[in-house]
Amino acid sequence: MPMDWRTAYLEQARSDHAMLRRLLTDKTVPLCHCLHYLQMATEKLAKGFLTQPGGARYRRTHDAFVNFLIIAKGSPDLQKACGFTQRRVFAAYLDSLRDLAQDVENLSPEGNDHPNPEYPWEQAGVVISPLAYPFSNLDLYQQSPKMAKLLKFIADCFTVA
Amino acid sequence: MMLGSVGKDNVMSKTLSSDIHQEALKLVEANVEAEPAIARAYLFPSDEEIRLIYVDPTVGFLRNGEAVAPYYFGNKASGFVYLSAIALIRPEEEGRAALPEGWGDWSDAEVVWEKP
Repeated sequence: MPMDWRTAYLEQARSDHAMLRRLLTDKTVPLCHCLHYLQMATEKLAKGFLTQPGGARYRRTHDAFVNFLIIAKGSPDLQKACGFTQRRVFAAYLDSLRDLAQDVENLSPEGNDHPNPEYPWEQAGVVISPLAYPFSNLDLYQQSPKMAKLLKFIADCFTVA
Repeated sequence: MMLGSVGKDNVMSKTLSSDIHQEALKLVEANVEAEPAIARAYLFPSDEEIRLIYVDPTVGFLRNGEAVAPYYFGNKASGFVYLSAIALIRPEEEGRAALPEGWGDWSDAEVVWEKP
């Protein structure tokens, strides 16, 4: 059966997310690999919602997830999927995730050299590998309450995607 | 809160059905309540989906020549009939940004909400 772009993005995002969950069960997996899947899952999730059902391919790259959190506040279905009965509480919940979502969005390797989970970069003349970088604000193994919330939000999004 | 056609004496767009217009206003009400940074809401004509652009000074800039990119949400589980297509732009892009294909021109849009 032919698949449209929206379905394809969301299906791949689901798979990225499933891979992330599998990796998180094995604490020997380097953090950068988990973060790579987290970044890819959120990017494709947002791109899925940016693609009209049956519509053309979405062409902009990488910077879709934070805006998705803003727009998501207005989705009654998402609000319901996340278990909120009050709109204001749902909005506050999404606001509380925005900084972390920005950190995840920034993990994309696109642009100038910067810490990312996929490719080495250079900082002040020193080459750094993602394997050796702590990504201390994004530790998926020592999940902060905010990271746990973000992961739950992503999972909830798939229930209405 | 100001909901309805701003500055157009509540004259509804010719190409917007009453149902979709009413549903759009409900959605705008929900969105602006949830996101205090929204300064203005534009509703674009369509008989198939709710097409909204929010002006929000806290969002990033569009890249050069890039068209506004809406997020598409189905809202049927919550009693809404129409698919919604919602985009965010910065104030500097208002009236200037390239619109998604099929959305017409900025002059086709109706300002349905403005921050008091």
